[in-house]
Amino acid sequence: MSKRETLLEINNLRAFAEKTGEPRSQLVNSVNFRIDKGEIVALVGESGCGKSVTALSILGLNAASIEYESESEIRFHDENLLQLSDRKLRKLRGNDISMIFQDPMFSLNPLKKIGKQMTEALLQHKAADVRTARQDAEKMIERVGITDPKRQLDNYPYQLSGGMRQRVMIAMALLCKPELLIADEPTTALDVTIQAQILEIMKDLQQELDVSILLITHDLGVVAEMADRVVVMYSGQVVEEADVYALFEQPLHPYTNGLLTSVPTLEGESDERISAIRGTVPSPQELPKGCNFYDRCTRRTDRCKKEEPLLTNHGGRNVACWHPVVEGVKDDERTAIRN
Amino acid sequence: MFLRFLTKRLLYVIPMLFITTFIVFSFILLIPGDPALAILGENASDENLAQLRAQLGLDQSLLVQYWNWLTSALVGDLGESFFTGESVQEAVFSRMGITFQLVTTAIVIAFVFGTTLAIVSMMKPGSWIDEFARLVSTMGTAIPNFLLAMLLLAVFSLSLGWLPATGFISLFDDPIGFVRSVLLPSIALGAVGMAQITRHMRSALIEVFETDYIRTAFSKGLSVRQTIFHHGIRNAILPVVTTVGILYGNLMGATVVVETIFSIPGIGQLAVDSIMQRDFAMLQGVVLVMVVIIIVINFATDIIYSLLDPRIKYE
Repeated sequence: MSKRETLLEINNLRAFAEKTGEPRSQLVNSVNFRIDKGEIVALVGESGCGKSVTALSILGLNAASIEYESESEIRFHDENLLQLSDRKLRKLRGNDISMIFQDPMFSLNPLKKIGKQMTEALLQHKAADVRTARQDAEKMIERVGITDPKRQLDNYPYQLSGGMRQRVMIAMALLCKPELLIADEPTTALDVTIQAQILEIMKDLQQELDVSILLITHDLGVVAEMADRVVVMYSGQVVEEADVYALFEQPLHPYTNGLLTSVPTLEGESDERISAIRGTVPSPQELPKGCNFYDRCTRRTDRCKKEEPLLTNHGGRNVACWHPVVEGVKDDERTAIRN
Repeated sequence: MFLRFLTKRLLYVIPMLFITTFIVFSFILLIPGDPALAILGENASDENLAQLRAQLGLDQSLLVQYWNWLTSALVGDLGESFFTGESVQEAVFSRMGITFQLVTTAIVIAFVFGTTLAIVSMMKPGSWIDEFARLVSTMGTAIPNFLLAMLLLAVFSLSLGWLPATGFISLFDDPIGFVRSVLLPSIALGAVGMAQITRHMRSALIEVFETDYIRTAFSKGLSVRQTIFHHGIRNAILPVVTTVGILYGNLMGATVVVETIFSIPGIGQLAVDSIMQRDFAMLQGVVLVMVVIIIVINFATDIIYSLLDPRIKYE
């Protein structure tokens, strides 16, 4: 694969929340990855692993109570987004980087017409007049597959279905032709049939507009469908990063491995139980000293308990593990994970 | 469509009016004291008293009395005052006009200042104006309106002499005189409302700011100010509209005290006088008009709701 230009680079992102009288919660702990131009990167992990915090930190949209360590860096066009002034950040939002959210039922203002909400970003960033902004909005919602765009722009969100609303969100996010689209679980709240349509629209538009996408999801099916590259997060850390084919072919981190084996298949016996990763995620308020996955890992040793594994290069891919799954998973290990 | 809603609402009002007026009618007769005795005095003979009672219709049964009142009320005749003999509807309407101007001014003051304080404190959390908003919303509820009324009276009328202490001038006769005469009483009356509105608007705004669509607005690059004005206020004001509707009814009742302190000849004073004099005909008229006004305000609240929120359609 040819080397592409880097668009956004996250280095050493550490975010924590501190409330008086409570121990500090480490929400994100050393997150490193990059997004290249025109690339779809999937950020995968279970709920609470810090993927949304990571995504929201790019646009500075995290709650004010969440703070970042000083060495954290999110590099975009030679600027550290974490240190940008509010004004400069606002110029970026919706213009260079835009975002769509999980639940289209709640991400549109119920009291405002679709057209008004769509043109808002255009009017804010592109100094367009209302009429041309409206025409742009019309074209864009037609592109995401909404028929009769003129009429739909005069509708209120409650008059549209969930799938339609998510289309509107996508159209709205792409209206200013951003370089990066952050999609935070864009299909989680939708019906399965609608999910596929939304993903297809996103993929088509991504190619047409040459926009990069950071796709946050916990659905490995979505990852396989969409992503060029996958970043796996566990308990606030990136544990593995790889090309999508390489990752599905051979996961290196025991956690990724567990995730992939926990996907039910049609092969095998019908009474076979779906394998699960045993145990639970450690609390962000009391992270272990060594590897965060230690308690749940099947390949653990004493070293894992004492020393924290850092993300290191392993045959062209990155993994944070002392004992990566190299030679393929042995059968006895599969059963051990299942438990 | 809307017309159908309107007729349905009006049809619903009719039984409500029957029930409320009947309840009030029975309650009035339960008040101890005899109107005939009150009119003729302690020394009146039994004969004269009986004659007057018959004249006023008080010797008949409750149902007959109510029926008599109702049949004339339906043709627009609310009867005459037991005392002065003046027409009840004329007295009630002229007094009601005064109270309505007073209460509406109080509501406007409460709404404008309450929402503004809430919005500004949302824009600058932790600032002095935020603290001030919190102070106002606590003080407004804690200080009873009669105390505030007397305080305002003592400072701005008696000591500083800036504003008149008593009396009322109608808006339609002399707008400037109206403002001068109504300012202190309406502040005294509206303070509680302002506190309530500030608090409700503040918490509604905070709640709205936690929603996803506000995050969407921020993700489009809108500033806090733009987000509040384009997305926050209209959503946050919906619950406040309900507060204002309820407040209107409350202030119609609370106005009695303020009208007494500032000697404003409003409906509150009329109600007090009628009770003191056992002027049942007048009292019944007062209550009827109050009920009608509160029904109209509830109705208006619903209409405003449907104007603000496109999801609400009345059919």
